[in-house]
Amino acid sequence: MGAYLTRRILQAIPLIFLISMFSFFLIRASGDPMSMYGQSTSISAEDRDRIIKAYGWDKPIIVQYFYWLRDMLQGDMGTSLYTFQPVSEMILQRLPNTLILMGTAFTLTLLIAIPTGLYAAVHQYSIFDHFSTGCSFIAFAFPTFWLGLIAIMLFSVKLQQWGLPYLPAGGMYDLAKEKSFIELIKHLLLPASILAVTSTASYIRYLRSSGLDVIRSDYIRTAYSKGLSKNTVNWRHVFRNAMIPLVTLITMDIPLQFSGALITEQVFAWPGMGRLFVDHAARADYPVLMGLVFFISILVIFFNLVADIVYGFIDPRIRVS
Amino acid sequence: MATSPVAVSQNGLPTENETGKKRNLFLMAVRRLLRHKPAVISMIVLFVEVTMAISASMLIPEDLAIRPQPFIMLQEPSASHWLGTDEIGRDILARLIYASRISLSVSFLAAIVAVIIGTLFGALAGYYGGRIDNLLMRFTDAVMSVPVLFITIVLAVIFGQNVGTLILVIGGLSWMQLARIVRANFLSLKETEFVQAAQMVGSSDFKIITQHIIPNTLAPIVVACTLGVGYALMTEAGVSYLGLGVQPPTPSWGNMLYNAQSYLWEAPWIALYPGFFILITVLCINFIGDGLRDALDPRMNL
Repeated sequence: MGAYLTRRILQAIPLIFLISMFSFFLIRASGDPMSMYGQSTSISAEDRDRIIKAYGWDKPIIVQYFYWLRDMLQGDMGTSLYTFQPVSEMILQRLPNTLILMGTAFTLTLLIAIPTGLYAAVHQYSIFDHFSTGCSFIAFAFPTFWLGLIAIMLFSVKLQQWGLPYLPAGGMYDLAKEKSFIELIKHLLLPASILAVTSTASYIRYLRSSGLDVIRSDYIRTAYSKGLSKNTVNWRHVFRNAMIPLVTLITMDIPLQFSGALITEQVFAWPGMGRLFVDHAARADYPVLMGLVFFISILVIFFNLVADIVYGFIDPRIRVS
Repeated sequence: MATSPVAVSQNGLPTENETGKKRNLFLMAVRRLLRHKPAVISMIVLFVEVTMAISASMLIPEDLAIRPQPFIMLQEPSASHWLGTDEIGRDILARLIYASRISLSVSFLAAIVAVIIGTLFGALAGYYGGRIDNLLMRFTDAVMSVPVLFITIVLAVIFGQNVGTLILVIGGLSWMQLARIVRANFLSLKETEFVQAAQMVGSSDFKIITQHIIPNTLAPIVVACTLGVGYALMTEAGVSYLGLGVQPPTPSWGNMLYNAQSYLWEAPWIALYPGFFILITVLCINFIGDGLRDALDPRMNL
């Protein structure tokens, strides 16, 4: 296990290097940071030159990348070109909000998908199976942001128009009220459920087919021929084994979840990292953009690593090879 | 139900009638696809949408979709404006029809771009193996670990104003899954006798790849292409919804929703229809993808 882990970590280093280079070139090319001064006459040509020199924007992009990398390795993610705040500070401010949103959505996904998918697998072709398969197929085709708009329309606007208790349409806390846990839950309910829809749909489909694979395997037949009851077989063998591939699915899903969170944060005005990104994307504020992309990529790689380790624990067959 | 894989494999098996005739794989696939009812209905719906997009100017004047008419803004659906008007008095139905041109062409072309890149990467990596494989796959891994929507947004900011480059951006960032599938198929196919025989008689690599291996790995490519259309449609809509994709006055299903959120209270119909079109289209595409997967699955040719 130790050797395996070291190998995986060593493999991750060139990957991180490659990602940072790849994203730096794209993001740095995304706009001229000097354009924020526009045609403004309040800054002279010499000032412009001085700013360009100070940031090193006159150097080739590859040199700028190595400047960025040098600072990054020393723990300095740079400062925003607009707010002049350190990027690391900006990200850390938003990180908990995004994690709360994604974490809640993820918990909802697992709570709904695991029982639904496994029940559908055990009761293949039952009405429940057809219904859940159909629903997840349709849910999979819903554009997240539109679903968000519809949810706001129903649970916030319509309920309010009908004079019923309603959910807030956006934000994390009510500015007029005290910040409390209940308020947070109220604000979290819509965005987290919307973010959970797509992944729930795909997890249900995945768990169902993985459950069916397990049911058809030899060791299940063996278990039945030993005289075990259906319940025992399901709980002791089918469910446990059917959930193993879930680890892979979750890892592959994480980058997608960050993308989903970005859209959801935008729809519900949730002050997370995705919103920070969108706010700064149109301004070519590359230190912030680069910081976010790099940080999220590191998180993704980290979760991949964790998944590999978890895999080793729950599936001994992997450890041997 | 047709959506469950096993049910489909049962009715997807060649019948006696089929196997009795000369086995034309293409015809067999088409016949199986036509037996998949949701896929057939979906193809009809998509056909209607495409026809609508192509003949847009015959259906409704473009002026209604583009020109602001302040006197009739935020009107409810009525006889003169079937789906109502938006915040600056443009007819929603007209905008939807003209938007389908942009949205459909962006998504189809982006899917084709993704398939070309994915097949190329997968084929080169799988066929040549070794260092090329390592290099291409590390690159693929890197792109896969990046949250793609973030990069798409950055690129949309630079190039998004132009629909052509938006297509390249969306397609250029959604080929990774296919590259892996194609590579895996190439790895196993290049060890088969028919490929080794082709190498023996001195066929060029290009010929072996294009004429021997790719036709045998066509099924996942076709399915990925279909699902890629859905993905591209969602991505275009998402980026345009953020206001960073297709730019007004050109309507796309995504950017029609850009302002809709501010009018959820007084004019909910602005938000309703564009998303509905996206939903129906993606649903149809996924059904067709499902049908194609069943129709093309080589395991069923046994």
